[in-house]
Amino acid sequence: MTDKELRRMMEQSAEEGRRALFDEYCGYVYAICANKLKGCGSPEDTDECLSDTFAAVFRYLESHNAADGDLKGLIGTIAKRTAVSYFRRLSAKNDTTVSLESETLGELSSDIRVDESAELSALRETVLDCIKSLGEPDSSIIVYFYYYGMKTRQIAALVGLSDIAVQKRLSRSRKKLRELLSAAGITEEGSQ
Amino acid sequence: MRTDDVFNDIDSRTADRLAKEYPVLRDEQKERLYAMSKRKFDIKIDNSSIDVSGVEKYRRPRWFKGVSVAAAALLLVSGIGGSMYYISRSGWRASVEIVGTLAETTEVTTEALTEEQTEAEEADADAIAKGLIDDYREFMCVLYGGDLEVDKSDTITRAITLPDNDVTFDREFYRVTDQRYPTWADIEKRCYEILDTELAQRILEISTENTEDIMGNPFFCVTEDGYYVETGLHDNGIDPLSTSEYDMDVHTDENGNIIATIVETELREVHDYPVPETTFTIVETPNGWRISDVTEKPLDDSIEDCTDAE
Repeated sequence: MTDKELRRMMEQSAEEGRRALFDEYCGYVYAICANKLKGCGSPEDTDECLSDTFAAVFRYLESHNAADGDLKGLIGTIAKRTAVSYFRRLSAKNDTTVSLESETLGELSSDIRVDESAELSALRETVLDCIKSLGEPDSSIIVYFYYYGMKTRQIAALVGLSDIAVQKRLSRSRKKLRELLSAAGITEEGSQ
Repeated sequence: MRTDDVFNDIDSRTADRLAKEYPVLRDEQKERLYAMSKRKFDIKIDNSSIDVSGVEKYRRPRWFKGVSVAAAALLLVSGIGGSMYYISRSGWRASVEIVGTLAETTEVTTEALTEEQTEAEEADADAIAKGLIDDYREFMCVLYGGDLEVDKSDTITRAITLPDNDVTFDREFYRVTDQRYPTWADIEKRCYEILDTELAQRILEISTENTEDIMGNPFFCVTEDGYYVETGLHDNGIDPLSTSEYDMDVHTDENGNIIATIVETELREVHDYPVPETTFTIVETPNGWRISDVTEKPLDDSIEDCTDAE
């Protein structure tokens, strides 16, 4: 559904419009919130963050009926700011410094460096392409683990495997991904 | 740059791709999350908004709104409200005396201004405005931003009844142990040093309660032993505003009041969305310059300019 269609729907029926907007963008907002809060928040925190985001979006759109422009940009901005706010509060509360040097992620992330000047957005695309080429369910396992910050137990429920099977696949996929990244020019020494 | 960065703080394109290629929300989760969002949206976020489910707290320290409401209420309030109790208790009386004559005082002050005085004031307007606005921002962090030191092991619970719908629920409060403001009277005193009498009274009135049976939904409880801040307000306070930078535009209106508009150069991170522009009306009172009105400009088209700012 396009932004124009969503706006038109909201004009005709605010309730139906909000629902359609939520359905369209809930996955997008969830990805932003979960990614920001991984390592410091619980799944419930992510849920709260997401619902806070949509409540704020609904309020904004209600008070800006004539507002035009990119809905995804607006929603993304509010989601990021809400997630940052949650992140700060949760990090302070837990008195922890969130780092990807942590045990769970270090195996892949701590020993690979990319060139300082590499375009991050292009790099992200390349990494996602490499992950996709792993094939299912490995690509989903990697994404759920690294981007969404899920535990292997949660992933197991999503992909229909046992916790042990997910751990094994994660280990193998990680190794294979490292090779794929290396082939794509993303190595320990840097982007080639 | 490390590959860590690739997995963290993802950009919109990555989020979009993840959502489409690797969705995680099932239908029942979507239903639940939509219901949560809708409930939060439906709750009127003001000083009386609550969640009575006992599971999630949705009230936010919307002090901006509180201030605006208070400022707007000044137009309607002709007398002295119930917060006189606090003022008299604190022993701070000077400002109280000007309440009934504020408009008159302002007129007289305006008429008495000579050109030289006006020029001098205009020259000083920037400094007066900046000083008061900085004090205001810092104080609002204290009052509503969770910036007060508390003893979390010392709490009180109050049964709160909302007069509108007769709903009763419990709310917890931490004991405030902040040495900057050891008593509620110190809070009041500071409030009157920054705000004019009527705005200060309104702010204090909507913020506090001092009885066992509370009608309303205050942020603070004042007892004979000290004062307490609501746990949700303290734990979920906004980031200190006093650290963020702003640009300021100052002019003097026809009544000699200082009108100062500030624009955040670094947009604040708040729960809902940033408030990029706030206008302060600053009036001269017998006790010096005080803020009499605070008006926030809601987020408008400017958000379009800062969307997706990876």
